Amino acid sequence: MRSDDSLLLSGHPEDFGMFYDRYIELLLGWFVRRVHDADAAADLTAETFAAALAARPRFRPRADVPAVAWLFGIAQHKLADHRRRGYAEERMRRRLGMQPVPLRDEDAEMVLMLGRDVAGRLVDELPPEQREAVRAHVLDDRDYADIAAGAHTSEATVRKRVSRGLTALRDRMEVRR
Amino acid sequence: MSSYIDDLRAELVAAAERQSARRVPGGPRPRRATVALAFAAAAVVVLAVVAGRSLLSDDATPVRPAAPAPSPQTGQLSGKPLYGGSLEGGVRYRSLTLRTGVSFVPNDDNWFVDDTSNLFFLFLQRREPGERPGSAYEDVLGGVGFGDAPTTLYDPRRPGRHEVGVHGNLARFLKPHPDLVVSEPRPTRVAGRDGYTFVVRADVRTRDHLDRKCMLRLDRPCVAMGPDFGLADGERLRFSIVDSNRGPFAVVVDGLDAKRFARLADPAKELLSTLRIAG
Repeated sequence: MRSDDSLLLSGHPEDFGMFYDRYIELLLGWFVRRVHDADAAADLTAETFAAALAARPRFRPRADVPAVAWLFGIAQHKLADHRRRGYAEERMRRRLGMQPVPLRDEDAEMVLMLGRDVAGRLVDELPPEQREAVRAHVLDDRDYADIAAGAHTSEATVRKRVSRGLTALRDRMEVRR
Repeated sequence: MSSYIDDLRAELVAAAERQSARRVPGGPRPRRATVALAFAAAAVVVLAVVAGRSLLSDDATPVRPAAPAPSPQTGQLSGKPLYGGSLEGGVRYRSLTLRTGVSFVPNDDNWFVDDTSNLFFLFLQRREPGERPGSAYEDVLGGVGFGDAPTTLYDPRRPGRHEVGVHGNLARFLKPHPDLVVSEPRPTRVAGRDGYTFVVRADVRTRDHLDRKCMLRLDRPCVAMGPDFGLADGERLRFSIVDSNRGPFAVVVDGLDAKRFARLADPAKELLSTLRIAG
């Protein structure tokens, strides 16, 4: 299977679609658990992927940071902006000339379900150390230093656990698709 | 699969195709509306220079506070405890956690504070009603920040990111920076304390100090000034550095561009005229 890094670096439009396929559900679930609103979560998700697409030419792989962490870094900024302003911005989607994508009732149900189920269920299936690290860093927004201190281990170890956990999650999501 | 997920995917792939077809180095300049929306992030970014630490960073760069974590020094200040949200004009507020406590009276209801739990900095955002129906506070002008003066920044004399200690006058330290325009410091008095004041404007002319993380967030050139701290092109800060028992204390008026900086001046001045600093 191609790596996330190679999908982001290729510049081929469909490769970005494949990257999207891997994380759309995880990201929708991540947002809806934070904003508790399906429409807002969908807007934030769309804006995050649009920002990732716009930033893709500047993406540089790092051995210690998986590409999904880069995506969630963008997502965190979008969430912070949303909390400050009270609504999800649209500037990246406008800049890219994207049309609004309506969220139908059944889609909204799906988004709420993702918030309840998918991420948490997949994370629960990880080995304990990876599960705790991914839950703390990705789902609870704690930084590596904080997690390391709580787990009485080094930041490098926590980074490795998060990285391996996210890789395993990606593989599992791919299998279930 | 959900139609929403499919439809969004189709929009993104179509956008990627358009992007591939018309790849232009540098990309478009942000529109005015974009700039206005971008400020919310920029306003928070400036806090990092006040405190030498980051609000927005999502990486694991160790944070170095200006001094060992102290207890807040707010006992001698009166006022309503400051919690997050919109502030009420005419009411005196006092910070709860800032290690060098402050109290102040907002001149009207257009001040907002997001995070009041930090030991090292506090930022009051200035939002003014916009013209669009339903968007009561669409125009963020900037804000006023309080906190310890920076102790570590990137060396302005060398390209790249070489952390150096800030000693002496901050304006003179920043003066050699090729992407900053720094005014001459002059004496000032804030909250009954003597100090000096100067204005810094980001004017990105080189690629020696670009802050890519900030650029990604704000969609405009940014100058990296310190660990996890970037200043957006055109952004202006008025620093006032005054003495406190815990060392130099910074009061910063931050506007994203010249126009907003000018619009912020009067309300900031009014608010700062009521400022009290503990310790």
